[in-house]
Amino acid sequence: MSGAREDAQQQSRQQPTTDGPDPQSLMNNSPHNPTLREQLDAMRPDTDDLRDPDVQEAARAIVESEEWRSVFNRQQAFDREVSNAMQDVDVPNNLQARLQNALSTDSDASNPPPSPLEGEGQLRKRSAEKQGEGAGRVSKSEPTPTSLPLTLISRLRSKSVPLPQGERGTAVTPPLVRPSRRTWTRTIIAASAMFLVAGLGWLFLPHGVTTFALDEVRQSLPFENGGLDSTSLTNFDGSFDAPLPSGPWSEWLQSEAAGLDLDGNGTHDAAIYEFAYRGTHGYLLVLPVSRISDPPARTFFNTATISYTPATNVAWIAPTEKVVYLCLLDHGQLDTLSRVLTPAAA
Amino acid sequence: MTDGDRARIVGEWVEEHASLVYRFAYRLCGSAADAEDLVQQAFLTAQRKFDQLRDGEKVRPWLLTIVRNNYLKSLRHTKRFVTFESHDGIVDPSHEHWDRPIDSEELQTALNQMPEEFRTPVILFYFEEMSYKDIATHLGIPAGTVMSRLSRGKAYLRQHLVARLGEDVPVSADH
Repeated sequence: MSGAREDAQQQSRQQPTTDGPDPQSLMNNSPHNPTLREQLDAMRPDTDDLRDPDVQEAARAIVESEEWRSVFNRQQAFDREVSNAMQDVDVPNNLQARLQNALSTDSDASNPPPSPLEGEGQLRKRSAEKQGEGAGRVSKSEPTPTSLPLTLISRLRSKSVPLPQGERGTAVTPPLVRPSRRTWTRTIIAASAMFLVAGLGWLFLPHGVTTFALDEVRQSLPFENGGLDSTSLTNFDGSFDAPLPSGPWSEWLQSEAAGLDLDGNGTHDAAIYEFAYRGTHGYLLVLPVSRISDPPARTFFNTATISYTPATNVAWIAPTEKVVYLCLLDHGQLDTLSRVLTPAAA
Repeated sequence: MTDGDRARIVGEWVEEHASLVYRFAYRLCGSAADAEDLVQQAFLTAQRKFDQLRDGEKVRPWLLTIVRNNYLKSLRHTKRFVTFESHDGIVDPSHEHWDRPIDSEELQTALNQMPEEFRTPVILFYFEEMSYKDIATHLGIPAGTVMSRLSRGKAYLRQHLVARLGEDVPVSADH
């Protein structure tokens, strides 16, 4: 542990020089100061994290305060022990073998099956190879069934000529059975009935687009661990016009629009913009109003319509009534935005 | 690149990273069976989405990200509602000085009791030794939020380990 302490002290000495203690920070240099505690807890042992300009308050406290230095050293010692324990997990025997087996099975399953004709050719090839190996009768120069052109194979099949096989009389092509006139009649009647049923079904089924309640939209968002799961999002496909609301939204955007496919039909039903403004961070969804069954009444951002699932959010409709906006915050307060966006407050 | 080449490369990933990915999965979910499922799912996903990995040097973080995402998706179905005390409610025994190894199972017990939003940053911090800024980037949340969650998560760990180990693991007061 003394070594750990020396490390911490050495780290402490690596601090960038400061112009002197800041009176305000010294006032806050109590071990119960949550900001300093958070900064100290964010420091990894045996790294130069203390050089991070965003934690200089803690770095200065360590240099200037024996008490803080002691807390820091103990935390670093604790962190080292936890890091060691974290890796101490028994790995099951044969894990690698089971994984390799699963991968191999999955790879076989994901390979598309050969077309019937190709498959037949391959089977025949294998069969011929087997026979050749076994009997030594198929020379490389002799044409095997697989070396025949596909058209020829097809022609041979259509004429119901037995393909060459190992033994006589083991033709693979089944005898051609000509359907009777009654069978034809039944087939035609059944097909007509199917077309009729399908046509009626098409006439009577609703053909409108799927609509969603706003709560459904909120619930379907891949909102995990305090933020949207960006790995499940792709760039917005532009399947509808998704304008930004009035206000300085364009200045707050952090990325290009992503898209969300709510009904699984392959096109995006919502555009998602990530934004940040003065300590707030969140996402603005733009949805066509035609897809929302319960569009909000208000035409501007207003915290009176606040909802808390899956994160603090507010919905409103564009004055053009073409799109609905849903603003979700995963960090900060809606009031910060409200001061800028709500007409009365602006 | 042929399917055979891909299969061979993913097979090499298994040899190189399977143990580490399993340990990470186990720390996340706390169950050997679930961890093995997560690991298998991760490698299967890697094989199917092989072309999405642009930088071959980032195989390990990619696999860990897949594990984490799959784990979070599984959590979405179980909907665990865990309350976590406020920072003030946690009696942080940081005045204690650890002078012996921490028991792996006790650590897992503490992690299992920790809400997900705290557990993942803590595991990334200790297991992957990621900086709080890297964790923020990785999780897509603000760095300040990560700092706060790390601090609360670590305080909970300290509290739990002191309380659970008590007299069995002597933790000597520094002063």
